[in-house]
Parts: sequence; structure tokens; C-alpha cells
Amino acid sequence: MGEDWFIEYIKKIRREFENLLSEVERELYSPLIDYRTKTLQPLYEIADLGDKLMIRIDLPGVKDPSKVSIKGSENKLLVEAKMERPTSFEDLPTYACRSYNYYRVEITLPFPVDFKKSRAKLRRGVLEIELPKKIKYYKVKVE
Amino acid sequence: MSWKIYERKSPKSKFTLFIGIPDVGLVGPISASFLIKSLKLETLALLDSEMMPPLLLFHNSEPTFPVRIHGSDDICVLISEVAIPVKAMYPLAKMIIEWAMEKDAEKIVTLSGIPVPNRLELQTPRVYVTASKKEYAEELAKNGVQQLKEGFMSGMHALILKEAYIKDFPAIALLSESYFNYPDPGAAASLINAINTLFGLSIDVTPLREQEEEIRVKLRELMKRTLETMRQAGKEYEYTLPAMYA
Repeated sequence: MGEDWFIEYIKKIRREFENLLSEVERELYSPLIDYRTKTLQPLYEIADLGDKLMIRIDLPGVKDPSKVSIKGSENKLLVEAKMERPTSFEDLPTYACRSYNYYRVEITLPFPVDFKKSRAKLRRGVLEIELPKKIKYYKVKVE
Repeated sequence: MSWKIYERKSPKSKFTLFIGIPDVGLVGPISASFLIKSLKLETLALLDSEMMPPLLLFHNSEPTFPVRIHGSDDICVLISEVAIPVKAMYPLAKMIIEWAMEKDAEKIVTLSGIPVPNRLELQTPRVYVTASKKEYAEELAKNGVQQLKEGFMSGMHALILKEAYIKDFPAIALLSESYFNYPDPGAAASLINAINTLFGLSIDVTPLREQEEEIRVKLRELMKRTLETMRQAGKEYEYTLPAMYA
């Protein structure tokens, strides 16, 4: 009876591991479109620059900064952008044989960030978002 | 486990074989595809291996192989439209050099990118050259391309140069400054301009520049698949200084 908590604990770890694995598999094998929202998912990268995160998103065809929307919560970033002209995937059934002119991507951030101090810049279809980390430093006394 | 080559037509001797395989910024396949279209090169051979995913490709309803060789009298282009798994790279490099030697090719030129952190600031990316023998690169560097002097190379072009070095066959790598993980047609345009200068061609890159955005949108999926193989191919070494440099 005393071992029940341990079996439950192992089951919990297993469930979490399986969820993580299915999330990785979904990320690797799913196409870069969201048919539900009729949007393309852009390529992006997250760079850790010490006191801040730099999110770089490739948004080819997006030229006007006013057509980019960036929304943030504690650890999520939602970016939506409109292209100047739609891109046709009319020969591709896996892209539902249609054109797309919106990007949408939701990014899970590895650290809590301060959105009030964030900055964003769009250059040649590449969006760069600087997000200062919310870090509190505590002083440690050295003897 | 090896590669098979199904030849439809044999090239004439003394040709240059350009190679564009998915890697940094997809500069290789973007450049190779543009060379094939601009020079209207016909399909010469189809390549396949049990180490590749079971794929068949369709272009304009015509079935073809993702890895193939196109050519004319003096130019051949090997293109791959899929990422090559690392385990398949070694026998492919060996087969390419053996095929080129058997067909009496003059030289091999691999086309790829070299990742630079300031790519966003560069209007015209520079092109670097390195080769299976230092003398080949020195000769080409007289014509405005930069010679790569230090550092690691990884991936298909590294293996092709290694195999050419062993077999004493002339092989050159042209590397354009590019994004690491975004398709980079701008870097490919620089590479085509360098090919024009180095090999006496006059290919107009205007159509490539005009299609830049469309190429970037449409090659996102291939870039994503290529990143998976690049992680296994030791790409991080290209940021590493060699021990003897210190």
C-alpha cells in the first residue's frame, strides 16, 4: 500500500513525457499551415542574449510594419502578419489548393519577459523582437 | 546500402558538375534549380538509395526523382529537392566522385551557404571559395571571390571535397554568406553572379530576385526538414575555431 504514491508518481512522469513527445512529433511532422485559421506558419528562432531574448521571424512578403500584430502574455508570444500579396499554393492539395496572405505563430517563451520594455523591428521581411527578461538578482554574501 | 544511378543519357566529357544539396539557407538547391531553368538543362540521370525516404516527386504532372542530374554539353547540375540523411551522405559523395571520374568530368563545383550573423545587414552577400587543393581556390580567388582560410566545413560539400582530395580530383566549394535557417534566394543570386564571373557564363539573376519572396515562402517546409539533418551533420562546428588556430 505504501508504494501506491510511487506508482502514481511514475505514471504522472510517464504521462508528462508522452505529452512532451507528442508535442515534439507534432512540431516535426505537421505542415507549416493552419487550415483552421487559413494562415501560414513562419520559420522563427529564439536567441538567448543574456538579459534579453531575441525572437527572429522570417515573414517574406510582409513590408508594412502596421500589418504586423504582436501580442504577449507572461510566457507566450502571438505574432500575426499580412503579406503585401497572397502566395498561391493552388497546385498543392496538402495546402488545400488555395492562396494564403496571413502568417500566424504562437511561440512559447523559455523565460518570463517584460513586454512593456520590448521593441520590434521589421527589415526586409524579417521581424526582430527584443524581449527583456524578468530577472530578479539577489545578493549573496561572500565570507 | 548504397546509391544507384539510372542514366537516361550520358554527358559529353570535360564538363563541369555543379552540385546543390539542401544545407544552410538552401542556397545549394535554389542556385542549382535556377541554373537548370536558366540554361534549360534536360534530365540526364536519376539517383536513388534505400537510405532515402520512399519519395517520388511530380513536376508539371511528370514523375521524377528528388535527386537527379540535369545537363547540356559542358555543364551538368546535380540537384536534391530533399534533405539527405547523414548516413546517406557518405556513399553519395563517393558515388558522385566516381561517376564524375568515369564520365571524364573536368571538375566539380559544390554550391552552398556559409552562415553569418549579420546577414540581415548585407545587401550583397560575399562569396567564399575553398577546394580539394589549395591551388584551385587560389586561382579562383584572383577573380573577386574570398578564399576561405580557416574553419570547419560540414555536410555534403565537406564530404565531396574530402572524397575528391583522396581521389586527387579537382573539386571546388563556392559558399555564399547566408541565413542559417531561412531560405536565402539573395545568397543564391550572389552565388550565380560569382559563377558568371568565374566560369564565363552570363546568367541574368533578375528573375531570381523578382521571385525572392515567393521562394522564401514556398521553401519553408524544406528548410524545416533540412534543419533536422543539419543538426546531425555537425553544423555547429562551422562556428568553432580549429584547435590549431589558437
